[in-house]
Amino acid sequence: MIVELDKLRYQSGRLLLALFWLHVPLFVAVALLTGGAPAMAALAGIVVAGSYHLTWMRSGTAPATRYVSAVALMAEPAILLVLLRGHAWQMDMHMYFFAMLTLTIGWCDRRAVLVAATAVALHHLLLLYLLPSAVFSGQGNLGRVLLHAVIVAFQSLVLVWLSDRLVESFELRERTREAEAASRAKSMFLANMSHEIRTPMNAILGFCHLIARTDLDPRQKDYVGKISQAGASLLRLINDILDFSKNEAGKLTLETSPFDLRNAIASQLQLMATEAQAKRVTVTSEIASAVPHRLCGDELRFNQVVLNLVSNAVKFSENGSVTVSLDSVAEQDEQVTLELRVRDTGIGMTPEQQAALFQSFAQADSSTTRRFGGTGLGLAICRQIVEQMGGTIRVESAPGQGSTFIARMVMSHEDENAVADIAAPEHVQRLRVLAADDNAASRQLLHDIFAEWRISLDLVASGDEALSAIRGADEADRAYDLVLLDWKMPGMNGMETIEAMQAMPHKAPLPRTLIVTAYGADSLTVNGNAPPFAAVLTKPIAPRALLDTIVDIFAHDAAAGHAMEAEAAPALAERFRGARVLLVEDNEINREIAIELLAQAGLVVDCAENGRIGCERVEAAGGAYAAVLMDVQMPEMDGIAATRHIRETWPADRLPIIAMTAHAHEEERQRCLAAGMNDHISKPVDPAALMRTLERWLRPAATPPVVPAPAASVEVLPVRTAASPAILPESLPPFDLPAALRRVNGKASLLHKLIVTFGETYAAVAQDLRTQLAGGFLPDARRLAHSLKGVAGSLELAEIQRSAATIEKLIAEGETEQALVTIAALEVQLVPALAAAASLTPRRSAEASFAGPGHDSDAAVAAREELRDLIRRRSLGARAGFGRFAAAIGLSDGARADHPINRALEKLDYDTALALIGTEEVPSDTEDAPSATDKAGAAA
Amino acid sequence: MIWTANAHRMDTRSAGAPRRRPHREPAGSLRDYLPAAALLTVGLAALAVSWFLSGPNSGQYLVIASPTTSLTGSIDLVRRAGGRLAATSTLPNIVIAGSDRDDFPATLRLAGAWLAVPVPPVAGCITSSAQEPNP
Repeated sequence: MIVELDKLRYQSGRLLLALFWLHVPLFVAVALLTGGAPAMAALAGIVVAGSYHLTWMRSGTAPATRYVSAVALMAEPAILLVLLRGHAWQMDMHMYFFAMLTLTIGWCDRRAVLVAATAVALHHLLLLYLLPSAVFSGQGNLGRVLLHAVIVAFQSLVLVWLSDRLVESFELRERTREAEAASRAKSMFLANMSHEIRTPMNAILGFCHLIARTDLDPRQKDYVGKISQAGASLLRLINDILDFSKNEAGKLTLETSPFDLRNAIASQLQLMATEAQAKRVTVTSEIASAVPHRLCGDELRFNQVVLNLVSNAVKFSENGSVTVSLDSVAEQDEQVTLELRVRDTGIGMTPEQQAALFQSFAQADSSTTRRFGGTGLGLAICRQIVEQMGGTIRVESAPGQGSTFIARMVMSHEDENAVADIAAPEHVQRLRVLAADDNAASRQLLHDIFAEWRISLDLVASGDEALSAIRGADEADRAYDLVLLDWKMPGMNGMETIEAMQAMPHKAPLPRTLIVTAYGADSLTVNGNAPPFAAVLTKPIAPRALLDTIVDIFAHDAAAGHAMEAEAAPALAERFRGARVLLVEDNEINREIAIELLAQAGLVVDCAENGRIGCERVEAAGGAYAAVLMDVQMPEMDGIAATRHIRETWPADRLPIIAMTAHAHEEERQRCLAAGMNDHISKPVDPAALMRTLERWLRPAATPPVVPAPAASVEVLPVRTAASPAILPESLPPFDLPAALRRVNGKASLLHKLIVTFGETYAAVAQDLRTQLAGGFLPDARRLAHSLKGVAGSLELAEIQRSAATIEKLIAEGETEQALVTIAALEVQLVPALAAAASLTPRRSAEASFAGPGHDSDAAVAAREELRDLIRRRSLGARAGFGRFAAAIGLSDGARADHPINRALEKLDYDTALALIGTEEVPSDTEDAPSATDKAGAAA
Repeated sequence: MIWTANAHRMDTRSAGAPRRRPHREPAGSLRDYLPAAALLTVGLAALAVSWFLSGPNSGQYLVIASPTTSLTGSIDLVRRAGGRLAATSTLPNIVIAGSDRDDFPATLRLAGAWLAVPVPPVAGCITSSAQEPNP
């Protein structure tokens, strides 16, 4: 099927339809002018146009219509000839036959042209030969008929040729498009598959790594090592395929950020150090002084090119040398053209081998694959990257004389105002670090690096000095957190220093150690035992690698429950701190989690309970918000509608809106983006993903925002401090406490509160859902299920989350019967969760209605207003709203059940409930428990 | 049956437009030619009839007798109607007759002629100056 050809035929057919009908008035006009019969002329025109119209209606662009149109096209000049008979223009009207014949080309069908030619031939034969011959003896002019036939035949031949070419070109275009689509589909498939394979591969490699750190006998260790090695090879291969296919699918996009070229090359050479050592290859780098220290470009891709070329060079240069040189060859405006040369003393290549080198899946020859391994994609990927960078790649080589790969890449000068050096996270800046290295230059370098990061560093020149310093600091209660030890030092080397350090008495925990070696990490064998050091770094030290390692070491400690728990929480870059964001979220529990995460990240958070309030807040803030985090499903006005409303005033580049929804589907994401949101993160929110997303979209807080906070907004994080050291038990099935704690940045007190609130809010959720379904309130029921799904996800109640998702889906599809079955299952799943939540609730005396002064009067006011609103709208959600209100004012279970508002709501008596809520007061924080009890009693 | 997405869009856009067929060409069925052949036949017949009926009143008439009539019979027919033979044609039952009488065609038809009309001009690709026949 050729869509374009079909379209052209359709348009031609429609054009002819109009043309034929336009001939009707033309015939009438000509008949009037020549004294003919207008009615007959009109009739002739109508017969022709009507015949075509009928066929068009019936058959569309099918051949039957094309042939009818061919005859009709010839009929038009024939009729005009009759009408102009005897007129001076009669002969001229013959031109019209040729014009009409040309129109048949619109069908791109040679048969239509031939039909038209046949029709005109028969017309001429009849009028010019048969009839005159029959009537006037000797009057038939066969010669003239033949002459005209030759002309018509010639024109028809031209048209047939042209028509065939047209069809061919359409077919060619279609085939090309199909081929391109197939190629894209293949690449996308490869990309997807590679990605899917990578995920389990990461798990295999990760567990290999973990197993290798356990007590294994030498044989097991060897096996695990081989699995890990094979896994790593496979992962490299998959990464290559993924990269290549992504690039082929046109998805290679380069980022532009400033980076240090020398460090970039050093880090890549460092990665190759072990392999080069194994093959006894000397790797050296020569970077011309003309090359700027920093340039703007895609560091990751640049590194990929360097690593690919260097690893190839090392692979083929056993016992030889590899030289990496970088020079600046041209400079224009802000652009710098760099030339990267990787020269090796390897086996070299013939010109034929060089020719196929940069093509995909091609190596110098097939025996190369057998001998050296590899996918043959590395250089093709390099070519893709380098070309995308506006450069070229080529090779100079001869067999036995080594090869030189020359890649040119264009990068831009760094914007002087946007210099952003590597910044050490705050918790790393607080570390106390000691470094021991016998080389004065190395010490100076370390000093400079750490000074730049604002990390306190003490320097010593030997292992003995290091031990003294560690001992002294420990005695002075200023113990070091981290010690960097050079492996090879005169006297006591790094490993011996660690052993001595572990043997010495100490008050504070021993510092973590980091070994720095110029000999490759593999040289540090530890005889199958767990290494006594935290990490190894290879010289020359790349600052980023060093910082990443330090961050890793202490992040790992944080995960293991080290004292740095709070500091390890994901944080935003300094420039975003203090920015004000608006959180629009109807669910209390999700709101608290998000507030916790955002506030810990250094943001000022305002809250809105639904889209309408969110819009009002945005309007009132007048551009003070750096971003809006928007739930999608909310009562009154959902996130999509709210976003559309906000976008009427605030474009996406002025106010980023990020969707937070429990739907992880791509359609939901697209729906959010189509409504004008900038990004989408799925709930339950992964703190690190939230920070990454915010860093992508936030506008830096230029000046401290001055926004009058709305009354109900949450200015600062309302985190209560833990009343007792053991806020949460070690485990609380079915809640996955460790995972849930990570979601709230380790805030046990907050999680405790959230679980208790969950227990109180969703105690009757199954019954509420049933009531809503029975009353036909499907949107309410769906929203409730959606809300439960989100909360259960955040609190790591996987089963309940799944059930709630199923119920939401079933309600959306109108499958209420099925939904009721799932609700029954949900009810069973809820029992242990509610019991667990209840176990966290402090026991209250039967008389005490209030939990004490712990309640939050702002929250209670908000809950009361929400309840009032629900009652006013006669929403069945009012019962749940009353639950939240009761929780906010701290009503006990007994008092809650007996509360007149609750009783009115049970009877669906909204008028009474509304009257009662009008009299309801919220106890203030300062009230003590007995008086609050009295007040509740009075209200009751 | 497969319909193209484009076709569907166009169908919804222009009410009354025909449904489009898929591009796949039918294998040259003769039935496809029938409507065109019918239109061509009707058209040529209409042209022939209009040609016969379009002669100017010049005192000469085209006379068509029954196909079985001989040239003698045709001449006799003209004479019986009070006219004269102006020219013969290729066929024996068709002659050109001349008469000044206005009721000559009617008389010819009464005498048995199938058709008696003023002589039509030569149609087709000729100039207006050469259109009148020269019998």
